Amino acid sequence: MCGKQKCEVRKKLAGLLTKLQRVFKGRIEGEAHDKEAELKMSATMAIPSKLEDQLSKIVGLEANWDSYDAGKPNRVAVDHAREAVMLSERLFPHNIVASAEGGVALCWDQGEKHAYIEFSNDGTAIMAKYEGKNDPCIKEFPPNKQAILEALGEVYPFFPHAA
Amino acid sequence: MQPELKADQDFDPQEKLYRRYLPEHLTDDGTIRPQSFKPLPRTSVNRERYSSSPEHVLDPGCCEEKDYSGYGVYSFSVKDVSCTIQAEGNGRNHEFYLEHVPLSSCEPHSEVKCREFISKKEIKDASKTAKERFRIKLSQIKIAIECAPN
Repeated sequence: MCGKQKCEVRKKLAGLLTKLQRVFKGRIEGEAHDKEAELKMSATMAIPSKLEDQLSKIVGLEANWDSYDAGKPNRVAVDHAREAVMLSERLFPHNIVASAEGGVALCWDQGEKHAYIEFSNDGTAIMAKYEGKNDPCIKEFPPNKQAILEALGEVYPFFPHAA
Repeated sequence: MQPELKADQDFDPQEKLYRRYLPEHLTDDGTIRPQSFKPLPRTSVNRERYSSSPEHVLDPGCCEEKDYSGYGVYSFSVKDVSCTIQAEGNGRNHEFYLEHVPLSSCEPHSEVKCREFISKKEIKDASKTAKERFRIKLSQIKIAIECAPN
């Protein structure tokens, strides 16, 4: 092989090497980007530990947990409640409680102001807010993502100083 | 043979009614959450006149022989529970009323029920929104903590 050919081979090898480096760099950067997105996502999905504990306690309840024949909150209600908590990061509920009607409720409280979004065992949902002895505002809604976000949108302005 | 207990439907407006509660159902402003109630067809309470103490409502005889010693006890008065409410959009009023339903093991046992204001027909079920109004109304009643949970 003459000097000129060697030089061309070297050039080609160098080019290939650069391409390979670019590919690997891209892959590594891509993976890093994916990991970052994943972390960001898990941070977004994280539920405050107090609420997580309350949900775990609710999952472990048996029928008649209130001593007045309340039904055990079922998987449907718990899953909807968990989804709603994840969607409520602008103002997480202050408490999550089981409902004597059979279901799970996310509750916000500030003095005499109370609001809740309750998911029933039968797959329905309701939002209510009231202050003191005033008439409540009550809305039923299907527990899908859009409707849950709309219900949360009703709750947030009720606690303007909490968000 | 145990003598049959006679129901006494004479309620003094000041008489207290006792009920068990879980700490998570008590809010910071001293009200009981609506989630504590399943108002239809009825809400069980123990009336003061036939109770030895507020804690009588924790007595196994009043708890189907189960141990609810970790529960708290609160009270509200007869006059507060006897109220009317417009639960549906049809303009008809409903009212809560009390009935003494003594049990052989629990003489103070009573029930808060709901009926149509004019016809006095008992309401055993209602729309979800109406039921919600009923239990929010119950949760808006002024209560007194008689015994905190252990």
